[in-house]
Amino acid sequence: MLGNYPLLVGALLLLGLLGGKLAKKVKLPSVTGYILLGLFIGPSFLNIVTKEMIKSMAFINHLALGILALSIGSQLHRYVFFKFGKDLFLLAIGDGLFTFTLVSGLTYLVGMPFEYAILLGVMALTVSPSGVITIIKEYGAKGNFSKNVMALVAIENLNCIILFGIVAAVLQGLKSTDSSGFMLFLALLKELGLALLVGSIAGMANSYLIKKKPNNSKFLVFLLGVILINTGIAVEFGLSSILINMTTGATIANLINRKFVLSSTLERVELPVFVIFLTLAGAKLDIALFGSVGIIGIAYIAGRLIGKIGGSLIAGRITTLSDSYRRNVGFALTPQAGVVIGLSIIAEEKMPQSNGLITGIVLTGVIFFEIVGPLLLKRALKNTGEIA
Amino acid sequence: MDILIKISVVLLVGILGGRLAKLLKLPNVTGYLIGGLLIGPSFLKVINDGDISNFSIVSEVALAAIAFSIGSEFYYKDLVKVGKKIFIVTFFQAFLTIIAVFSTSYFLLNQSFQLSILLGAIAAATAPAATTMVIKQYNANGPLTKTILPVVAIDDAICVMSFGIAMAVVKITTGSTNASLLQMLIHPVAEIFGSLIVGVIIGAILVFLANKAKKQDELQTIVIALVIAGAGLANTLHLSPILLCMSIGATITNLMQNPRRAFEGLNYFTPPVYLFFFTLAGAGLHLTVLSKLGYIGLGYVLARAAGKIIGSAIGAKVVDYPDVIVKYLGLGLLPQAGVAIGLAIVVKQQLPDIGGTLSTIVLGGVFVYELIGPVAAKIAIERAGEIPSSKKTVIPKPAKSV
Repeated sequence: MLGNYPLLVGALLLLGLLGGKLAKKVKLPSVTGYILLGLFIGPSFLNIVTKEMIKSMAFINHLALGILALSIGSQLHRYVFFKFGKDLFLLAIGDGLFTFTLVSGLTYLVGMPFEYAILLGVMALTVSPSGVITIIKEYGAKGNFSKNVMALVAIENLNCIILFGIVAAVLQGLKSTDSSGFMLFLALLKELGLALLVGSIAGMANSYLIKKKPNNSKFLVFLLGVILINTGIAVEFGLSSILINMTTGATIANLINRKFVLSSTLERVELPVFVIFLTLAGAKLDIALFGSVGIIGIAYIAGRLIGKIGGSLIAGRITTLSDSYRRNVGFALTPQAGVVIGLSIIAEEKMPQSNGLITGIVLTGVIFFEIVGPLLLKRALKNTGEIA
Repeated sequence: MDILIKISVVLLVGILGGRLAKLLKLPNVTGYLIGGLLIGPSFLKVINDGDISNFSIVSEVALAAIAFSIGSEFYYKDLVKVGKKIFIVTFFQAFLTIIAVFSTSYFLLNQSFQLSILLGAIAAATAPAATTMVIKQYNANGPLTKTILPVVAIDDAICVMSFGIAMAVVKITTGSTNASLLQMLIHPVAEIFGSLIVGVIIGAILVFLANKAKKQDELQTIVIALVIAGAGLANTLHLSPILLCMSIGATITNLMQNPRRAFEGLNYFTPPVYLFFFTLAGAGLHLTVLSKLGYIGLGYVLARAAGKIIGSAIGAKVVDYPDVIVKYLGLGLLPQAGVAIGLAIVVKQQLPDIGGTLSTIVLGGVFVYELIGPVAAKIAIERAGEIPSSKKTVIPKPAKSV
């Protein structure tokens, strides 16, 4: 089948969709389904999709990562920074610090290499927006607690994304330069600066175009062109493509008041691209690594669980939030899904030598938190009396 | 240069080309092609032939999507009414084109019988993509538009058949095969029917899955997956991807409750693919082929145009079509692209003696017709009055008696 790309692409799409459907049946996010099915047809099991095929599809990876980074970046609207009160920000930061330290520390202790441990710590911060919102809607929860939880989801993801972009860029910089100390710092600064510069220029160009109200199809083409050029420049000059695309997304979001222009445009191509991308990502996972995932996976899950619950309990002390809030908010923030998987795959891209270890751990975590998270959230909502 | 930058250059140049074309009142497709020509090996050399073959998946996807959307024109109730007429018209224009090109080459220019008959068969091929895009861009609607699309589609089947016959005749007359004519004709027949049948099967699967899809983007992904897989399957089984994907489209048009949803889903996805496809096709054009054309090339280009235009006119008269179709159908059938190049490559592989000359001529013809074709198609639908003007809100009358 190698060489016959259309057939390969078609088959990947169909199989991925099938995986998504199966996952839905057992109440896991479809994302998990795509990845698990990919794992199954990849070199680890059936080997229908071989290593060479995965390599030859690198283009789709770049495109998907670019879209992902851009749409994540577009969440960074200044509005989010102003709207939520000081309390929530303090809570999120305390909670985040706690979770980050616990997850990084624990996974490092059980043998995870330092830079992976740091990344895992950052990724542990994400909360699944869709998971939280579906539960709140499903049970018809109403009240301040639910509202605050949703705001916190946005803030914590935001923190995580900013941190992740920076950490990924820094780690990349650390690897690419041999010199130490001040020079290293300068090199990093230069790389970050360049990435931000390129990203914001691209963002401004896009915003200018949006203001001229192009028709949707043309804007889509332009947007994809910009995403690819960003990524291409990043590859060419060894910059962080995520940071560039995120900056572009953030720039557009802040310059343009039409909230949905980006998401509604990208929506048109997102699903097929993501299905292939995630199915391939699954195929890339090396099953042999899952043995070593074991204990690190447990450390990750434990670290995140304790970090979220304990962190918000402690950080809540410096805020004016009530006791029942403090005790329950951590539980409410446990669901985790799509965002973190996306990030883990980006991380994997940055550090190919991890061979799927990061994704493996994150995936284990997602399966756990996707099952347990909603139950904990439901409990928290009940405890605060917001569902009957 | 990094491949991603190349891709984005192709996209952005395509957009610019499209803009420019709009200013000059040319179809967007022409703009994409010229933009591509500029960054291709003939001029700036940003994109080289290696890149073009690397990106072949995009071209295959684009063609598959275009063929699929043409399939929507084959609704059985309409087919019962007009099917026979369209078939006759298609047959006439293809047959006259073959005759015109063959006689020009054989009698006028004293070329060998083998070369002439193969040139004739290849000349019949029409590229569906450019014409379809022009019609879409201008939202054209009317009797001519309604005729062009099915004709282009059926033309592909006729071309497969005539090329098969021509190849068989050539092989037998040169003694390069022991098989009988009948044996050799099984191939093209099997290709046509195989493509149609596989297409119907995939179409049926698509209908089944589409009815289960809950959300629009899910349906969109299923459609894309199956259409692309169809093109891939055609490659593997040596079938015609155009016929196969068209047959998928025709199947769902007739079997699905709301087939528009499926076609719309694909339309969301395709603009970047189409733009990339045409810009890349432009980059694939080599200016040097023009200088090698010579008299045979010129004769081929002129004879093909004459054959298409006069053949369509006669065919349309025979079945009593309205005047706009008689006058302008042939102009809409001029574009030629990938299919013709593919056939030339087949000749080159199987009959290396005449393959070189033949592919030079065909490539020259493709160069000319890729660039002229879309403009001619635009002129045709414009003259036929089937481009709704944006200022006046006159809604074109739906075609009734075509």
